[in-house]
Amino acid sequence: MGSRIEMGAPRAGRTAAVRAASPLVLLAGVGKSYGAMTAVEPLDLAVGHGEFLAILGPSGCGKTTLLKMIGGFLAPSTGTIRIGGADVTRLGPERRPTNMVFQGYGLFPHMTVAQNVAYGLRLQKRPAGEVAERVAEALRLGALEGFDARPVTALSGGQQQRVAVARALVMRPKVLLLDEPLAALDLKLRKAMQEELRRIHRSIGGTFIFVTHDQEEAMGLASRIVVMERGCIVQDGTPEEIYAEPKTRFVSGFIGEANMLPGRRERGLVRVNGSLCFPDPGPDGPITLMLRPEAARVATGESPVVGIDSLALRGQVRDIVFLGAVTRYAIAIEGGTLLHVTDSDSELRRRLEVGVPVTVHWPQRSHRVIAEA
Amino acid sequence: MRDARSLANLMLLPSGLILVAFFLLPVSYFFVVSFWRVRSYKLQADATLDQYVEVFTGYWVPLLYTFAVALAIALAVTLIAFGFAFYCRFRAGRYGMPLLFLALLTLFGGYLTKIYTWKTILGAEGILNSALMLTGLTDAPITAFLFNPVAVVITLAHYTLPIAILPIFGSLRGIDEVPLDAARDLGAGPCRSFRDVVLPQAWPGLVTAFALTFLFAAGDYVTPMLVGGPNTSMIGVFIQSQFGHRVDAPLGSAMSFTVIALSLAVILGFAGTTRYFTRVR
Ligand SMILES: Nc1ncnc2c1ncn2[C@@H]1O[C@H](COP(=O)(O)OP(=O)(O)O)[C@@H](O)[C@H]1O
Ligand SMILES: [Mg+2]
Repeated sequence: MGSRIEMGAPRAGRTAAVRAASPLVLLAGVGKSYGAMTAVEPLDLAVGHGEFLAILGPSGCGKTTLLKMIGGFLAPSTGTIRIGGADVTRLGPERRPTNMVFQGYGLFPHMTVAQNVAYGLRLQKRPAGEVAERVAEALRLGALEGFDARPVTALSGGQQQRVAVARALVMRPKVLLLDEPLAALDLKLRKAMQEELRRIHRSIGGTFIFVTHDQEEAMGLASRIVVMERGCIVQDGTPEEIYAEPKTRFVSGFIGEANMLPGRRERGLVRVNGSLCFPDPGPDGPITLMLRPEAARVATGESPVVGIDSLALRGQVRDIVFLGAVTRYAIAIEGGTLLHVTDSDSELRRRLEVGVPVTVHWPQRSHRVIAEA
Repeated sequence: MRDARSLANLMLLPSGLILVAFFLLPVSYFFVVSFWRVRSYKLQADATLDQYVEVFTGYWVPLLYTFAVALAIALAVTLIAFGFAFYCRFRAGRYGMPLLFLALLTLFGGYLTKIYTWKTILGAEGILNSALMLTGLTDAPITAFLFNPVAVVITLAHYTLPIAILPIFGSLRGIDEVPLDAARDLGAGPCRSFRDVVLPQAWPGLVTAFALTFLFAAGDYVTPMLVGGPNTSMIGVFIQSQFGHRVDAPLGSAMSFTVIALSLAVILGFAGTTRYFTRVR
């Protein structure tokens, strides 16, 4: 049955409360500056046992810097890092219970697959029998049986990626860190490797923290996503929460596609695009209305039937793109702003063409009103 | 495909012809000549090993001396060159390339220029002695600086250093830094990751640098003549004189091929030993 590779921490039978009370990784006020340049603003982060956490953000927002501080490759400018209760802030990577899958993998080019995977165990001076057993186990987990004697330079990108994962996992780290693990792979392989990583995470039940700028990858892999922007954590939650209730304009724009309409709220009444007005409690000030393309519908005719709690905007079809399962319509509403709506209705597609007047409508609960700072 | 290859072969032809005409043929000729003999100042075809016997009986002292000096130079220079190249590649940051350029700049100063430079530095009226006397450390010039094996080693080492730095830097530049981080992540300290990751990948460059330096030092005859003094007769000096005023081409050829064979053995020995110590364990 289950693989004998396991992460060095207890997992099963832990209640959520216990998890929250004793996080495996605990960052308190951890930040990093290079001179006047701040790569990571002081931040707090707790990661529980067994979590598969994604740190998501655009390139240059400080993801790698944060991960490297957890792994011990960079000393934080401020704050402390605890892993499994122990303060590791001043420890180098060789003395932390973490292992890393590097961006670009960092395999030893002059070694074979088996030598790469065995390297860490050899350093620990494990008996030869144990090394052989654990290496074989890790290779099996990475679906790399039979590749032992291959030079790593003679492997495909996906195989190299799995060697990197096997090399880290064979060490039984308390936390596995992955830096953009799939970024170098093509789309098809990326999907396959996502499944592979999910399978590995399930079968050993360890704690994984990975960094990515690809929101789809984060949604597909992680049980929890931390969104970063310019060195700060802007949202922290499950993929569903972050997709459905983005806290900021930045998050909603970054996670999935979104239409953004600027507006204002005054005394509990939101006005958007001149014609649209609906009650929405909250503080006065500028707001952004965020609407997912798949949440809205397109209707034709003079007075289309719209649900009782729905909102509607009139406009004109500007562009139609057939995407396979769905069709995407670009609709210019009053004022000229383009709204994107996706729909899978093939009958609708036949009726619509560029220039046709339409009504875009959506139930109130499916948009989000985000207050601007 | 085939056309492209035959075109490539065609384009290699001129350089191939030059190599055969001006290298392979003369070398083969002298190899044959090394089994000949000289009778009353005339070359005579023969098939004798006498010349080789003569090399090992009559010239084993300069032969041994040559190899000792060349080995000392090659080892020292390879070590220093590695240190310098390593510093440029991994420690100097953005100053690495300018530093490397500075070292290679010294190649523009010619070979003889450098020999005379060292004569000027080490000589009786040289900079070193002037400085010593000026500071009052000595009263009379120390003549022992020049015309000894150490002067030969210093001069040749100085000349060959940039030549040795190049191949080592080339191999170090090819080393990715991520595997170094990975080694640390897996528990290796700085020494282990250096031994396990840097050295094995730097090995080809080390062997090339050693071979270049060693061959240059073992074959040189100008430096020992100019700074080595009367008792530091390296084999190159003798080879040169066989082909010069002594007109004994067979003996000169035998000496040359002995040096070539022994040099190859030393280089292979160095390559093998270092490979053993940098192997993946
Ligand atoms: N050694 C360094 N010196 C100065 N700035 C750095 C250094 N390393 C990273 N940075 C800066 O810190 C920011 C965050 O970098 P990084 O963590 O690599 O971003 P990400 O991984 O999210 O793309 C970037 O703006 C980058 O330019
Ligand atoms: Mg990065």
